[in-house]
Amino acid sequence: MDGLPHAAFPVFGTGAVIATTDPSALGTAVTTVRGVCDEFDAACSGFRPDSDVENVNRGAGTWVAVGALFLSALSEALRIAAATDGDVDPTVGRALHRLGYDRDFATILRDGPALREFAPVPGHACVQIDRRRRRVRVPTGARLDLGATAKALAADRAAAAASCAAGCGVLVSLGGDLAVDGPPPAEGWDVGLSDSHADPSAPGRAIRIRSGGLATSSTTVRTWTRGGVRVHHIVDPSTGRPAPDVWRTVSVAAATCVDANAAATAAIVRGERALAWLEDAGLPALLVRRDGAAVRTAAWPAEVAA
Amino acid sequence: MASDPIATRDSGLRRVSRVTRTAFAGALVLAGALSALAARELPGRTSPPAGNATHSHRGPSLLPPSGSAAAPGFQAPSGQGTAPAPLQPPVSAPVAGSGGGPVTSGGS
Repeated sequence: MDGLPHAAFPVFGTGAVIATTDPSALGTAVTTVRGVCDEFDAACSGFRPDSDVENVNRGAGTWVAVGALFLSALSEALRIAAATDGDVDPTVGRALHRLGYDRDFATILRDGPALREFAPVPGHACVQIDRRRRRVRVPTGARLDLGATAKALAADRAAAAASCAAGCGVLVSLGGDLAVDGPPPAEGWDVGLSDSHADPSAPGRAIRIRSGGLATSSTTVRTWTRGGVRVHHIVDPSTGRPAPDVWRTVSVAAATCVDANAAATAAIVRGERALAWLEDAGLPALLVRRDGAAVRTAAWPAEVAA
Repeated sequence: MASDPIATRDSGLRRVSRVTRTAFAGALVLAGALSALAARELPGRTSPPAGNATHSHRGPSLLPPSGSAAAPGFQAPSGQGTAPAPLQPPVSAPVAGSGGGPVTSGGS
C-alpha cells in the first residue's frame, strides 16, 4: 500500500488524507472530499458564527430553522448518544466551554486559572427536532457540540461520495477518523495507529481494514492546563469533567466511521468498564493504557510488530 | 284548517335531528382543525429513551418536564423513543497490518 496515491490538506482544524486505488482518480476524489467537508463545516462547525449549530446555540430556548445536512448530523449524534447510553452526547458544548475549549484549538489558551466549577450536561433527551418544519430547539442554557460525531460522519459521507465520483476504492482520513468505500486494495487498507494522527512514529501498531471505518480517541492530544492540571477534550457527560485518564488511546473498527468514533470515545469515558462493553458489542478494539500496555477485544487481530 | 299534530311533531323532531347532526359535524371539524393547529405550533417531544435511565443524574435542571408524549407533527430523531440502532462491527474483520500505508489513525 506504500505506493498508493494519496493527498493531504488541512480541514476542520486538523488534517485530511485521501488515498485511492486508482492513481488517475485521486484528483476527483480530493475535489469531492473537499466539497463534502465544506458542507459539513458550514453546518456543524462550532467555530463559525454562521453555522447551523451556532445558530441553534444562539437561539437556545426557541425553534431555529436548520439545513438538511445539519438535521441529518444531529439525528446521527442523537442515535449515537442513545446507543452509548449517553456517554457520547451532543449537549456537552457548555461543559467544553467551561473547560476552556471555546475556540479553535490552535488559539486556545494553553494555561489558565484553576477550574472551580464544571457545567452540567443536560443530556441528549432535551434536544427537540421538528422534521416537518426542519427546525431544532435546545433548552436555554444548553449548547450543542457535534465535534465527536460530525467529523466521523463527514468521513463516511466523503468516502462514499468520492468512491462514487472516482469509480474506485477510496480511503478518507479526517484527523485520524477513517472511512473507506469501494473496492479496497488487494491486501486491504493498511493503517498505522498512534497517539496522534499527525505523529505516526509513536507506538508502531497497525491494522488492515477492507470496509467501514476506523477511529482512535486519545486523551493525549488536544490537551491544555488549568491551574496546573492537565485537561483534555473528551468530556464525561455524567460529570461535565474530562473523562478519567484510564486509556491514552482507544482504536475501534466498525461498520462506519461514526460507529467507530462513537465506540472509541465512549470507551475513553467508560474507563475500566470499556473492554467488557466493547467485547459485548463485538467490536474490534485496541485499548492502550497510560503506561503503554495494550489490551484488545477478541475481534481485534493479534498484534504484529510493525 | 288545523294541521295534523302528529305530522307537526314529526316535522319538529326532524328539524331537531338535523340541527343536532349539523352541530355534531361542526364540532368534529372544529376539533380537528384546532388539533392540527396545536400540533403545528406546539410540537411535542419524545420521552427519553429507556437507556438514558441510567444517566438520570445528569443535569436535570435543563430538561423539559419528562414523559410528555409526542404531539402530532413532531417526528422523533433517529434512535429516540425507540431502541437505538446499536454500534455495528465491520462487515470484513480487520487483520494485522504493517503500518506501511500513508495514513495513521490517532487522536486529533
